[in-house]
Amino acid sequence: MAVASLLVLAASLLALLTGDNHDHQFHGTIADITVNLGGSPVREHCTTCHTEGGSPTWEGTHWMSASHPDITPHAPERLGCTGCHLGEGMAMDRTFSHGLPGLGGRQVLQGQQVQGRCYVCHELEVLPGAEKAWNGYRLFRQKACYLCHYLNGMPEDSGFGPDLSHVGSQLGLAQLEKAIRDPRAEPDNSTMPRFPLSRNQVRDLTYFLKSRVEAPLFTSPMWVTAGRPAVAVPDVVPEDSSLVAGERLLWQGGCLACHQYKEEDGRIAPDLTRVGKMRDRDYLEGFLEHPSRLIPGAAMPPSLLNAAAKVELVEFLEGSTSEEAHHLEAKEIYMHHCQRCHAANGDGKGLIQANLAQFPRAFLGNDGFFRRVTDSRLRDSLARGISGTSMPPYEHVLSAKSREDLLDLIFQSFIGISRQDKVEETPLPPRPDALPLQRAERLYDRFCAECHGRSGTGKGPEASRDLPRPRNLTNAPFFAAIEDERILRGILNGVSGTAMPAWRGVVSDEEAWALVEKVRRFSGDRP
Amino acid sequence: MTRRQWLFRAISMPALAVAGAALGGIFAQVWLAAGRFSSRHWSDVTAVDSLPEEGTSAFPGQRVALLCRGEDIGALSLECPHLGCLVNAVDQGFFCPCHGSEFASSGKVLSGPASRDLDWLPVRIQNGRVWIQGSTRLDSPLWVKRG
Repeated sequence: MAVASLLVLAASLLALLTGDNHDHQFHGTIADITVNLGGSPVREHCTTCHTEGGSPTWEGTHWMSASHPDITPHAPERLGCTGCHLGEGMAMDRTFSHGLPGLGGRQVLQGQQVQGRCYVCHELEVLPGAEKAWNGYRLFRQKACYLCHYLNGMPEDSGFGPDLSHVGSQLGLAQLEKAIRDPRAEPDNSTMPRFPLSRNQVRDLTYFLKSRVEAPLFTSPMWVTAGRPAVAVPDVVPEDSSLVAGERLLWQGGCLACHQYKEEDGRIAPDLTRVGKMRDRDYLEGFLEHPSRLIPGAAMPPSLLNAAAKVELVEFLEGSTSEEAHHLEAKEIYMHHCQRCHAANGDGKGLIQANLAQFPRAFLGNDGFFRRVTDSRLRDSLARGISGTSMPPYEHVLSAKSREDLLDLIFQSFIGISRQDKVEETPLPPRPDALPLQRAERLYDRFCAECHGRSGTGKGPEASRDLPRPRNLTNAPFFAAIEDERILRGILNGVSGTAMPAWRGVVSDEEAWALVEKVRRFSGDRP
Repeated sequence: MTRRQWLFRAISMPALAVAGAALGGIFAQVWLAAGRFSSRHWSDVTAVDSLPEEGTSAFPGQRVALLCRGEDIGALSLECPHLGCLVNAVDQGFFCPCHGSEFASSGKVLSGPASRDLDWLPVRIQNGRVWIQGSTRLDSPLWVKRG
């Protein structure tokens, strides 16, 4: 912290000494005006150079400036400059007054960018001149940003992601844009998906977010104290008379901002078209309530729909029919059901892979893994899904024959080996009666914690190095469904196609069994 | 003592005393004012009866989680010790949405950029309500008895 502030200080001094050498030495009077903004006096020196409000030029002896564009009904002489344009009004130097480099919280806004300040004074409603910022707010609702990010004044009480109530006071437009365009640039373990937004849409969103400041000028102090100046909530349901009630709920609940339903596609999360056929009612209702209990690490926030709406939504999804009139070829089935996650070329890096809690199994070039997996386990995964992950059961969606065809196709086209081509597994040591649990703790910290993390959530310091990411050992539904021997085999022989190495020879048989026990404790199967 | 010395003392001593008293007064006022704005401000969180026997109840509005262990109640600050984001209470403990720090349900830091545990807050029970001192930080748990 201290080093960072020293660096900022040094950088600003350097900018002062070098950048402004060609700046004219100004020895005239400093203009000093005081305006009243939101009930508090604000002093500014801006009109020293911006004499008429526009961009200034040095006339040899004094500053001249173009006049300020017409902004009726506003009057620049009554509003002052920094209320709309930001910057440091009291600064005596160009670099300081236009905003120091850094997070850009008070960086000067120019031209169109001033839209980012409209909703600091005005309440959130359609406002002539602030169309882009308003569009940003509409996008904030449409893309369901509110499901994760709390904003002062929004009706939703979400607390899943960072609070953005004051983000406009902290970040500049450039930082906001970077954070929206590439959420994982900083920090790299961010769970925020990268939304498919155009450059203009991102810009509109940054204008809106820039207006979310600590003390909005339109509110009375009592509103601020109460923490909730109410805002208008635009309707995001498209005007389409053919929409049934359930479909409206998919829009209202923000589901379609990420998920796909028939033709609508948010391109972030799994397809919901057939989810009512795949998952039962309890699962769907439980998932809406606590997504991370059924799929630990899921990026989906808990649904903010009320209880009755949740029930109605689940009923709608269950009743929703998928019309597959003709028999589909295995190739078509793959493109329909599998490629969204496993990718059209089978390398597992499908459209939505980055937003899933677990990496979808890669098929392409992953023959090492498939040689060691029994055929019955594969059939089972396809028919019943893999609990604790996003892999859904397909037994009610695809016929047994279609599933067999699909497996054949995957082996033929991607894995490149025959389905019967399996390696002989080395026999596993029997479980000893007494386990060296103390030693397992030390071994875990020494060998495993680096990737799987001290808390076992698969987010150790080295976790982001590898794709597939290390297994989340606290994934209770996943581990409840598999037997001890499979965990032991993973530890002793490693897992092909992942970064998990074989520990046979490094740890003894008893130690490996003790580590199995440790995994079971993480996943809550044993106390 | 000469008359000149006596006169000098008679003037300088009271002057010193007045200056000292004025300074003391200013100091006292600053001291008291600082106290008024200090962290020693108790705020009401919830009724004791509304808390479960066992488990964690998060109050993000007040930036605090109340931990119940049978008869004992403790208060854990929900501010991440890294950069002050509000952490989420999850099944396994606490998770910071900003940079991914993880904490056990006892507030112990497990991973992430946070370098220390979640802070404990002073807590007390009065007339069946739980009160916390929002901005005082304790580094060891403070448990109070229900009722």
